[in-house]
Amino acid sequence: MIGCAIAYALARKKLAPVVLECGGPAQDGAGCASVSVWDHTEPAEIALGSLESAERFPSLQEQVGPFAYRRTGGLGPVLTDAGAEATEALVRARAEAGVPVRWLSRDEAAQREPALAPAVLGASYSPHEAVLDPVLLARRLAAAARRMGAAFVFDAGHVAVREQSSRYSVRSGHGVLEVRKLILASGRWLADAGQQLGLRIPTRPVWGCVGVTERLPSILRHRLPGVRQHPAGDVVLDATGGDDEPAAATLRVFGETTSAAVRMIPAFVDARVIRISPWRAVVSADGRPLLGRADDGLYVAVPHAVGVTLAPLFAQVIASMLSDGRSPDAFEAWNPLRTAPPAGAISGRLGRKDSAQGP
Amino acid sequence: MTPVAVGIAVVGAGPAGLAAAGDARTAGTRVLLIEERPALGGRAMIVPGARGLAEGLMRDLGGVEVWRNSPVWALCGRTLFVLRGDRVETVAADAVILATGARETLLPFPGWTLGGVTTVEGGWEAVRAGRVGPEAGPAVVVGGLFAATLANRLHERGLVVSVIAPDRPRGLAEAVAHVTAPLTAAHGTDVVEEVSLADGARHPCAMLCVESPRSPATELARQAGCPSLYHPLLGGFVPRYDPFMMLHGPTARVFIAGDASGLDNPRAAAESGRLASRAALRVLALLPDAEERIAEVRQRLRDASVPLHARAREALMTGAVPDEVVERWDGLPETVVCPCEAVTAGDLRDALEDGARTPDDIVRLTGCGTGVCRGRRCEGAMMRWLSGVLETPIGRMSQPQVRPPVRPVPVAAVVQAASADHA
Repeated sequence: MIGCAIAYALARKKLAPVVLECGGPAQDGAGCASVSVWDHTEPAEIALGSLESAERFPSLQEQVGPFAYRRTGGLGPVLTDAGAEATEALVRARAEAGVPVRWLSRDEAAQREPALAPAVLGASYSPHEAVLDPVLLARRLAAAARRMGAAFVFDAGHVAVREQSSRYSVRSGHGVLEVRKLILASGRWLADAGQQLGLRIPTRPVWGCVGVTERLPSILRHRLPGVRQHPAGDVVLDATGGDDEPAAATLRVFGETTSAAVRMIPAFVDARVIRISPWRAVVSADGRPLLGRADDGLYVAVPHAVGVTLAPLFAQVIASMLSDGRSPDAFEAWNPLRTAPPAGAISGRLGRKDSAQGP
Repeated sequence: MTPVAVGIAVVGAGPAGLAAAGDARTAGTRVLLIEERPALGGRAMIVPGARGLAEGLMRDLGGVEVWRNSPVWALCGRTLFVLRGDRVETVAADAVILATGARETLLPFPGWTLGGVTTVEGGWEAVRAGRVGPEAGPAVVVGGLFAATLANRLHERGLVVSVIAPDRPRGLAEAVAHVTAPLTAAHGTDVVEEVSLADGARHPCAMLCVESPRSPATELARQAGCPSLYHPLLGGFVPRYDPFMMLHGPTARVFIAGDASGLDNPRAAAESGRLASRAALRVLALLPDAEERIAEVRQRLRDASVPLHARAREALMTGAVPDEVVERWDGLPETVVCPCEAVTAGDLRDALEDGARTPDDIVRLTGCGTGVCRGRRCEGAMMRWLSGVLETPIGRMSQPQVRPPVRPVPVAAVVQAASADHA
């Protein structure tokens, strides 16, 4: 997704990128026809930056074609007194930092979302959350980018990357590309190709699963934590797991998420789950996005969490860097070179092993 | 959630599953037979001449525990996740035998999603369920011998019936009309009201039964990680197994039997069920004179099989399958391929233009096969279409990944299972 967005932005600037996808088209969009856009519960420094990105989707939809973008608003219902106290404090802190979020009382929450369980004591709320179809988005972006000269290579699989004389040689099953600018736009590429280039930017694997029910009458207006309803009626249940995923853990984690969803929205109990799709991703290790220049001609654009929210912003920043050489200060905190080498490690440039040390 | 512990779990109560369970019951281990439908017997209850076989096998079940109306929605290792009523039960088995049969699936044509349009097996089910009588309106049946038998039965029930076939099927009742022009479309608003033929003729129709390709039902085997090979004679994609009917894949002691292991007749299905059962018991060290008893049932399987099918199964076991078969299906852009997700042939072509080259790509880009039926109605047509447009032998394409649940599971049952885990 990030790669498709970057390709579109570069193509608009008349740069002709080649996008290597390790799998098939829209590989990141597997599982269901909707993903969440923005999350008001994220730490303020992330939420504000990602909100700027999230607000670009409506105009992006006008540019590339419809991808089922829909602003739903987001509710974070609370079911315990302790949870209510903590959430109210969190909402106050976020609001003071400028995040557009507020606390709703029980009655206010019920008025906005009639399907909420009577046991809900209140909810955090923001009108800015949205949902969209990630596969449609990827297809629209890719098609628009292609029309402007971008090329896409699918099923690239494992790639071998070398840097030589300020150029990058990228070898995959489809041949060799010699490029002056290389953008690592997914955690997997960062972990794989980045390692070959001597990049020591920590990442971590994450996994989860998405469950989808059969189509139901409209029940849910807003996006809730881990649950949303598609306009067609199917309810999507998002679960995030731990570090290691055996097949049975997927069902267990999904069961827990489903239980939580039913506690918030009792009407779901009558639905039937028709598919559960696990997913895996690699994201930044420290909870902040990785965005910017990692070395001469080498750029990184990897989110801190699974999702599409940051795609428009990442695309704009990377395209600016490549076309204008501009590096916006506003996102210095997301600089991929911010990660200092561990104590006792070799000296050298931040993020890259000292070339004197060998590969 | 404490699993139910059994020695042998048999999934599917057609001839193969009935025979497997009946054969295993004397070994002194707990045998559980799980069937998703209310009735036992499977397709043998509707195939002319096979009902007696199925009824005899049911009588031989003896003390086997039987769960009816209990779909298996996931298989993890040798643990089965089963829906019993509104509850999830888990079954931990020392050995699992998948006797999930085969299914007849319509290939899409204009109007195929209308109510009243079904396969010949679907027509037989309606007859068995007593849903068909003179008030049902005119019926049209398309196909050969199997279709003709259904046509005769519908005629006996008082319906006005026409059969569409290149030649008049042998044994077709005289009063049943025969038409040679191929079917081109079904027409109607929500239900079929008439059909049109290639010669331009139109016939009133309230029930359309089309004899369609049968293929092994292998979702659980695929979900368990078993690879498949393609053999047209055996019904298409068949899970790989060894001469003891044990599946290839990450988990040992998962066996397959019956039409799920490749199409054949009901007697052969029963013998393959016994072979799988004895192989499982041998692995569990519960079968005295194992080699002799397995050799005996292997010979009976050969004798019962259609010779070409027996040879095809043996070729499958060695991996020597025809790998140049390009299947084809095509339709007008507006022809619905996946009724659950309203995916048309035009949507498939658009996905191809966006870079889709594998069945998984098609599923991901279009949603084809992700609806309630999980591809049971559309996967065959989609793969045939892709094979034809790419001119790629269908056997060289990987089937779409199968994830649980392979049957819909009530949210209430999922919540109950999660609660039990925490208890």
